Amino acid sequence: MDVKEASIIKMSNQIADNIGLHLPPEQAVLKVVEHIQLFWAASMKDTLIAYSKKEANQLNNIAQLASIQLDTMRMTDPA
Amino acid sequence: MVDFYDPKATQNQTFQANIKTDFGTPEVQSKQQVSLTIDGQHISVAKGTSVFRAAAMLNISIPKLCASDNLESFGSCRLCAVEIEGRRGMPAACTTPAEQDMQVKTQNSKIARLRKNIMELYISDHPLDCLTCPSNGDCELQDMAGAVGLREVRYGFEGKNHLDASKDTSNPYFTFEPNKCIVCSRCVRACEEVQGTYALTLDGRGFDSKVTTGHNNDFLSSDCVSCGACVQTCPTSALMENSIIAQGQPEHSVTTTCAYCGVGCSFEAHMKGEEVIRMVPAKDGQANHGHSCVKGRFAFGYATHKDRITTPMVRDEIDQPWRECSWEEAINFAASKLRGVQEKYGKDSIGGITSSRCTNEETYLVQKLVRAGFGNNNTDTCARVCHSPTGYGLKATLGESAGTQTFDSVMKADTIMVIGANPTDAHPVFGSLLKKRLRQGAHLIIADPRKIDLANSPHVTLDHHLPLRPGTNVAFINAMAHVIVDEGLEDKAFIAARCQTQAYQQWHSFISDQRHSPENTESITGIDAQQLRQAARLYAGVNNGAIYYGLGVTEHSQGSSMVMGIANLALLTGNIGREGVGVNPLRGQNNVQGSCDMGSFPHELPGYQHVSKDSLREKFEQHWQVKIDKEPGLRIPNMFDAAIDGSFKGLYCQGEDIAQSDPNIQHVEAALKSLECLIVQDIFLNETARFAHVFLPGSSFLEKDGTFTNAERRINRVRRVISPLAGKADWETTMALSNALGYPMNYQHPKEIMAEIAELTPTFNGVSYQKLDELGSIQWPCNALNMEGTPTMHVNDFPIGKAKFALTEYVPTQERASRKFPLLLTTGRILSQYNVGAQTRRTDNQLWHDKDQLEIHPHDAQERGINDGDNVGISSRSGNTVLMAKITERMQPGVIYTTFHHPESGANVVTTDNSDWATNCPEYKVTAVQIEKVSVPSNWQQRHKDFSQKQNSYLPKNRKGNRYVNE
Ligand code: SF4
Ligand code: SF4
Ligand code: SF4
Ligand code: FES
Repeated sequence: MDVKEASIIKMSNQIADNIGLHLPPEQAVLKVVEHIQLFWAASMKDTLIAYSKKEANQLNNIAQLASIQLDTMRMTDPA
Repeated sequence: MVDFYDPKATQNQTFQANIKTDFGTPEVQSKQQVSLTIDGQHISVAKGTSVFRAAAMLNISIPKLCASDNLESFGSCRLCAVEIEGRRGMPAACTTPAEQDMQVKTQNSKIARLRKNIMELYISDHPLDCLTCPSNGDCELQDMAGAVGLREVRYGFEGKNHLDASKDTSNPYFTFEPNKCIVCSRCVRACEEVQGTYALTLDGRGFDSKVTTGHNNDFLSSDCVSCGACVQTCPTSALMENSIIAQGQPEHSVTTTCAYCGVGCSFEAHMKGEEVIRMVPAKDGQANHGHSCVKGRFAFGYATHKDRITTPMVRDEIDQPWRECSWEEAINFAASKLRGVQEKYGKDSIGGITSSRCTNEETYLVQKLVRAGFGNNNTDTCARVCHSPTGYGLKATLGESAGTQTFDSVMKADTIMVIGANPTDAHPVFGSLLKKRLRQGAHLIIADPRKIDLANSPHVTLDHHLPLRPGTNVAFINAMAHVIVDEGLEDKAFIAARCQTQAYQQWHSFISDQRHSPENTESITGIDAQQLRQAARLYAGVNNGAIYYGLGVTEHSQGSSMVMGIANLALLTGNIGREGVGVNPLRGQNNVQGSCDMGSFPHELPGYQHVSKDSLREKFEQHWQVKIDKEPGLRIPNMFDAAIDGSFKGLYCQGEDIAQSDPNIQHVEAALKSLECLIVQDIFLNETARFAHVFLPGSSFLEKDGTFTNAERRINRVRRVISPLAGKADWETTMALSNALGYPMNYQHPKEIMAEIAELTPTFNGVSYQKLDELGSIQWPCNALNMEGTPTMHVNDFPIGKAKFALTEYVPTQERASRKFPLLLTTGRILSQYNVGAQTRRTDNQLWHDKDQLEIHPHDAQERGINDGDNVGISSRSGNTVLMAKITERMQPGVIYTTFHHPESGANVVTTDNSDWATNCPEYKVTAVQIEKVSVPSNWQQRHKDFSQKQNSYLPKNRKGNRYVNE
């Protein structure tokens, strides 16, 4: 795992924990996606999406779901 | 006998205009008015106003020595004697309150005789060396001798006198010459009332009374913090700036703004030609009201230090010697390197970083250069590493990324809660105001792992110290809110009227849960549950509760959550929207607020307008005539990651020393080494410059025009008082680089940049240099709704309509004490030094703090056999360094503390790359470490020294200064 990937994993898990710990999962995922959309650079989003497709990855559940949703959104509206 | 000389006759007009009337006693606030007659003129004044002040308001000047309008009257000199009809004798005007129908005479022959006698007594015990005295021309004693018409002194100088008392030259910036002292006690009162330090006392009685710094102390070894308030108020040359002693009286003055901390004090730069002789805090400065600290007043000498680099330099590789060159060559070299990198690695492979030390206009230009010239949003500012969570957290809850009050608002607060801030060291002038309010009886709650100095200030009672464990802020603030809800102390009317109902209900059920109770969080925070309950009641139970917070809140993995938690608490208790309350971030550096306002963050255009919002972005696209990327760019830590990864290769770094100030230095160094083009623009060859390919000399705040925005959103003017040493002001350099890159910029003066900012930023619409000149300063928002600015925010509504409670779950940081790293290291700063120390280390402030030390609790020290002054190795999972131990009970056991003002300390070698979940603000405040006694520097320190020595050898041979280490 390279430096950039390691950071991305840590950051997305952290966002998921802080936003999502006590919210219903659907709501949490939405908020995490919104946060990443608003604050992350395109290259970071790409790294996250690519990483989330790896099997047995280290993303937590909410972060994983958020990455999938982010991927769908970016395919329909590539920035 | 006395040489009288009228200073005003020889000084030029501009200087004259800056001398402000001294009304003798402070302004009094009262709804009741009284009318009186003074020398036949009628006046109506607030009840409680002194006769002296009333006379001054009528432009009648009464002689005085011991009075000053920033001090309570004392009545010791009697020079202000007047006659009041129906009263016996001649009372002192400064201690006599004006009364209804009073008839006052300030001049007649009897009064004149008395005043002359008094002056005669003073002068008989005063050296008559006026012509060679440094105060000559600026001495109140001299002026008064003239005013009362003293022509002879009948008493001889042979009797008992003080003429041979010895001087105190221990302070590097001023001298105390007791034989010039007239024992007016102004210095003593200034130290008490204005500064709040109580370092001076009046010893003895009658003839024997004298001013001292305490038993067996000189100024340097006493409690004195060298603020200079005593020097400023001294009517004679008993307390005098060394610069005046050496260089003589100034001849003109320019009003400008301190470039150190977020208080943003206004100063008059007293000049002789192109030389700054002294800095005097401006009496009408709206942030500081004539007060300052040691940094702003005295530590400006760095601006002309021999280490300043004034010629541009370039090199192809960082292991090559630097080559000095012309501006044109350096700019073209930089531009072609940047373009080369972009051609090879893509448009997004470069970016820019500004510092919060730069002006608004400079940071605005750099982000414009990045967005329009580089064609991406890779722009960031060092606010990333300090207050980015404030921006995020306050915007999410209150709708605006800024503090809600003025500094003066604290004077109306009843309970003051200070969280993770150290105002007496980091925001000294605000700290003094705060202490003043506390001496008047306001309650104080301190939530901090350390017992900060404020807690031990004279005549200040600390109600509660909540010594929380580093990293547990959110658990603490949730517990506070839980108590308030649990005990029904919330402001229901405010919540119903001003807050979003659904968000509140959701939050209410979240916070009511027992997991947030102080009893259940005690084991996490270490705060006694009963103490916390009492503190919560004290905050919620008064009319006005105000919260002040600093980097101890933001620099955590949950910095943003904590800021939102603080906002929740203020909303819950209705402490928003009037004076005396509020959420007050104390910003570290002078222009943290401004650099955030100016669109330095990669996701926001100026005025916090999100790049992804088409309507907002298009406004800028139209004005700038260029397409702007709608996706946010990289933040500083992301840039470093991308650099190591190989996708980020070029960086323009203005005024920021990332190689010293950022966490996990070894990671930063690896990132910087991998860059193909690093452009550093700074006044000194900083740590980052060791990795640079282009060095563009910067200009200090004295050399340029611009504005800074302080922690209370106050936009203050910075005025050029000397020409740029290197020939260009920083905004001109950025402009040249932009032009060389093919994106034209043609501003003639920073005021044109501000005009553009005002046009594009709704909260700045009404700001202009002309208005700043007229009003002195402006607190944004300033627009059609508030043409003169907005001192208090959110009075009637929030920018988002209603405020929004945010869910703030406590998530423990990954950085936890363990067997291997059993202690927690936290970092901070100290009064005399500033940030990475590049400026203050080049002044006499070094006398107070010439090295960073490691503060350790006796218990932890003893366990490891560490004594005061030992070299101690500190290791974390990031790295290790060595510092000198200072054993102190200020720390709680298990927590150690250091500052990061000196590069060789390597405090940031130890800090980790953990960061705030929302903004990536580094977690400087919590690092798990182990310490042990050692005898040699760490490997990093040795490597740092070797590398610096090697870099020294690459510097042009003819330089005297600019060395990284002394060889
Ligand atoms: S310099 Fe400031 S702290 Fe020191 S004695 Fe004077 S007023 Fe007090
Ligand atoms: S040192 Fe100056 S201010 Fe202090 S008592 Fe003496 S004359 Fe007054
Ligand atoms: S450092 Fe801060 S408190 Fe000190 S003079 Fe400057 S702005 Fe004022
Ligand atoms: S000025 Fe009033 S007694 Fe000194």
